[in-house]
Order: sequence, then C-alpha cells, then structure tokens
Amino acid sequence: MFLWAGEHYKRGVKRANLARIDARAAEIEPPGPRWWSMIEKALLKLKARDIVSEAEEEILRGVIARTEEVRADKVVVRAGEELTVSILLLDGLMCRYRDLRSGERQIMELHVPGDFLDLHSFLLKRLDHNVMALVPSRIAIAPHPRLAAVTESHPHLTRMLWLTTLIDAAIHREWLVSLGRRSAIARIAHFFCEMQARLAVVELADDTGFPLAITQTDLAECVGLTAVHVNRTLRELREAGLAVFRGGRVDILDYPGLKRIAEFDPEYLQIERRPR
Amino acid sequence: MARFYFNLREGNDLLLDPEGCVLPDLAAVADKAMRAARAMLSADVLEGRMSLDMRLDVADENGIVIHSLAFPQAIEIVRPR
Repeated sequence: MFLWAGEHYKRGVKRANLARIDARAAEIEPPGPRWWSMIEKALLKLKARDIVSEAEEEILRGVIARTEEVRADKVVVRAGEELTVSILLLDGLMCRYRDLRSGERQIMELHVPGDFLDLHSFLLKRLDHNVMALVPSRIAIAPHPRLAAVTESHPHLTRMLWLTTLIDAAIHREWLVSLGRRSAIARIAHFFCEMQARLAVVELADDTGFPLAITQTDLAECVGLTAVHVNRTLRELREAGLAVFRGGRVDILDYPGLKRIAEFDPEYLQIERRPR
Repeated sequence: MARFYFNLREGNDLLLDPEGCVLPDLAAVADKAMRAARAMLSADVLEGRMSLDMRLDVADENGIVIHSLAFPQAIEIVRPR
C-alpha cells in the first residue's frame, strides 16, 4: 500500500488522485438540506475559541453562495488574480504555496476542513500565493459583498473571522521558526503535533493520530526538506517510537515524546474559549 | 515522464522510497539526486556528523537502478594543505 499517490514535479503536472478518495468532477451543488450541516467544521473551529450564537450561525450560513467539488491538484486561487470571493474548506486538504523557477515549491500552510483558505483576500483582493487542493476537496464560496455585510451588522462574528486570520498568521510564524531553526526531525514532529491539534478541533483527530492523505513530497514541501530527507527522518521518528506516517495516516505512538522533540506548545493556535 | 524511486543506501542498510517521483528525464533525475544528497549532507553537518558512506540508487518502475550517486561525488572536499 505504499504507492498510494503520485506527485507533481512542476506546476501543471497532474498528480494521480489518491485512491482512497472518490474524485468527482467540479460541480455546483444546488441549495438543499446538506447546506444545514455544511459549515459544521467552521463552526467547530470558531466554537473552540468563543461562544457562537445561533443567530451568528445563521448569518455565517448565509455568507455561503454555493459549494464546489475540486479535484486533487486543482489550483483554486492564483497569486495576483483579482478576487471577489473567499473560500471555506468543507472537506479535504488544501495548501497555500509558492513555486520557484527551479521547480521547488514551498507550502506555507496546510489547510484543514473548517479553514477559510483565503479570508484575507476579502481585504487584500489579490494574494501573493496560490491555493491548491492536495486531495479531492469540497469548498464553499463566500462572495466578498456578503462578508462586507457581516462586518457592517455583526461585530462579534466579524471579530471571530478576524481571529481566524490572526491564527493563520500565528501558524505562519511557527512555520518560520521551523524552517529557519528547527532540525529535520523537530520540523516534522512539530508539523504532526500542529496537524493533530488543528484536526482534533474539527473532530478529525484523536490522541492516537489522524488521517493525512498527502504524499511525502507534499510533506517535504511543507517542512522545507527534500523528499529523500523526509523519508529518512520519518524512519527516525518510527525507530524512536514517536510517530508513523504511512498509508495516508499519522499514528502517534508517543505524544509527550513527539511534543518534546518538536518543542510544541499549542498556545499559538488559541484553542481556548474566551470572550473575543 | 516516468516514476523514479530514490532509494538511500548507507553501508549495508537500504531505505526504500515508498512513493517515488515523476520526472521528465535522466537529467532531472541526476539533478534531483544531487540536490537531495547535498541537502542531507548539509543537515547532517549541522548535527556534527557527516557520513560519506551513503549512496542514492535511483530505480525505475521495474526496480532497475538507472542512476547512482555516491555522496562523496556530491561535494568537493578541500583539505588543509
């Protein structure tokens, strides 16, 4: 079960779809009962930080104009293009990334369900990075005028959305520390600890691990290492009895040990319910 | 385009590349192997130990080694005179 996924070499080269997940062509979903639970993950994310009232839930549902299915490798936002909508990830995994001329890619953040991938485009209008799906994913589209209406009528919900962009910034700072200063094993250990914490908030992880249907190359592009180095470092993590990444899943064998080697302190993720 | 597996040998130990990498040609394979070797050597130096007893054996989909890079070939060592 090792050859579960392909990889890209340069942008534009298709990646084989992950076999476990049913890839569907992009389609627009009509309004229906599914919409009711659609933003469930986003609500879990917000409710882990503060109380969200029923009225606010309704307002947030009303921000969504439609949903779309996107295939793995699909670039949903390109750097520099003019944007009029923001995108909420409902299901799947996506990333913010930049490509260099050499073909090297740096992923700046891995997005999990419940994340607003480009809420910052509401004010920036053009992004300095691309956003793409790493696996077949489902997204919800939030037109900027609807977000503007929220900011004008619902100050607390506005602050909650603002908070999510601040958490993105905190994640970027933490990755900066990893890329600049942490050893290979600490980088990967930290990445696993962060993913566990963020996925646990949206009920997709527990203490024993979580599904992570990305390739070792994707992981290498997150932590700024080569795929060969990642492969060797994953063996170190296995042999140290800390964690196993295999078959699209991370199994955490020794969470305190993994945290220690990563110097992981989840404080920056602001997983605390308090008035915001 | 074809898939290549960057298997790492250290002494008698062999670490298989579980997923491989799609590359256009042998030049791209050689380039990727060189960058991988240098990146790993430099990371090891930061930890205070550099093993030159490593080799990347790149295999094609049939498991045939089509490119090999011994780590000493990846760097020029300048010794004190």
